[in-house]
Amino acid sequence: MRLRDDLILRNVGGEHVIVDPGQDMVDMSKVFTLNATAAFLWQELHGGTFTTERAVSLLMERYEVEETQAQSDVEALLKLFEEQDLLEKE
Amino acid sequence: MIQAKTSRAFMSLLRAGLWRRQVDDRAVFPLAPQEWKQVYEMAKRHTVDALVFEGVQTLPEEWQPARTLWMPWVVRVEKISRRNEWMDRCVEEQYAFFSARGIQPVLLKGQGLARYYARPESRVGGDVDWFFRSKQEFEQAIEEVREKGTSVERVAGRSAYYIEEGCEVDMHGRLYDSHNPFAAKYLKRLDKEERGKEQRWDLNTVSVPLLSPVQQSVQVNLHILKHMLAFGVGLRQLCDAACVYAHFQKQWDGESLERLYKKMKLHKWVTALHLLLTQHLGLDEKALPFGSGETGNADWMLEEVLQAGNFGFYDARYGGGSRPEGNVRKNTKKRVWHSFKKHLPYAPWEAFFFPIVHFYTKISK
Repeated sequence: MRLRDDLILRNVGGEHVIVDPGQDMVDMSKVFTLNATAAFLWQELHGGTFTTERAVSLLMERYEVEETQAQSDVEALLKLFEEQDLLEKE
Repeated sequence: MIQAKTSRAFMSLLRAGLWRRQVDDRAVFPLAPQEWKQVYEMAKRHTVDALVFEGVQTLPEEWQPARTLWMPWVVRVEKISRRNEWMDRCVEEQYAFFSARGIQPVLLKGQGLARYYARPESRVGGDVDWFFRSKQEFEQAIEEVREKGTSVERVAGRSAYYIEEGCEVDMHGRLYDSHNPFAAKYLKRLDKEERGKEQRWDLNTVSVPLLSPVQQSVQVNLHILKHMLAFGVGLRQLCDAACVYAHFQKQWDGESLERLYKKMKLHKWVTALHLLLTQHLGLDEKALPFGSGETGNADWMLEEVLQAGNFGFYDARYGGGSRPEGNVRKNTKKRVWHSFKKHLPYAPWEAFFFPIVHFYTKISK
């Protein structure tokens, strides 16, 4: 899978925000803010294809969590990305 | 010295974004929401919105503007970056087209100058400008573009333009925006001395010629003066001048450059420009080719620039305030007369000949 190439992650005012430069008017209800963990994964995975296993491995290295916890967190996050249309369509 | 709080904040943020350092005038922060709105509008009017945003990001979080302001601002910044990527591709394709036909144009202004910025993607680009070194190349280039079915329009001053796939391309047979006929011989001598010192921009599949450092600086400065004599110029072009100086410092003969400006009777104007760049845009004095240590101030010049906005489209003194429909400015005679009076003490020959050349151009059409 792949994160949408046209979306940019910016850190503004202490928030990690996904920016869609393609929009003409900014619809505030479609603004997507990430927490620090999600932002870390976004930065690591953006720009290439990745597997769930790769994302789990990144979380485990960065945050020293157990695999089951990392797996659960990654699955929840990817589900959210998919629901919010942040993944490239396959 | 700028007094108004929002102007001070705006300039401080611009300096921070331009040189990638902390905001230096912290006394004016934090700003109220309405003041942030004014800063944002100023940044857009001067087409330095991405640079100022970079400055905003250096502020402590509690001083940054509300989400309702920075969200559309950051979208604009990303759009500017995307547009620059697209314009770079246009430059690459256009140069490949010309060079495949034996033409070697030099890239002027815009995307070429962006190379000298800390973050080239932050510079707002307009169109693509090519300079053709000989009349023969200039005419051949026009013919080649026409042959592929694109309409090319000629304009005064040995220039032409065309639009291709949304990209406006300006073609120039003259390098410098000088209206003083006595300056031509000095500029010709300069070009002869600078032969072989051209820079190049390696852009993927092509290597695009750029002007030599000295030619680049003189070209940028005369371009600024031309617009100041006409309807005004915004901060983007002043940032260009600052970035050229910062990028090429020590790579030129400052004394020789100073002699050139003295011969062209531009020394006083260039000194004022230098003061503006160092006092208000934060350029390090050491980057100036000559004249560091000058006293005096360029507040009058900055005031003119701040009032005018991008190419004078936003000058409220002449009925501006928002970009006019069809880019047609109001009260043009009044504005040119004001510019003439303002600049005559500083650039006497250019100020004198500018309206004459433009009047002649109009009646000879």
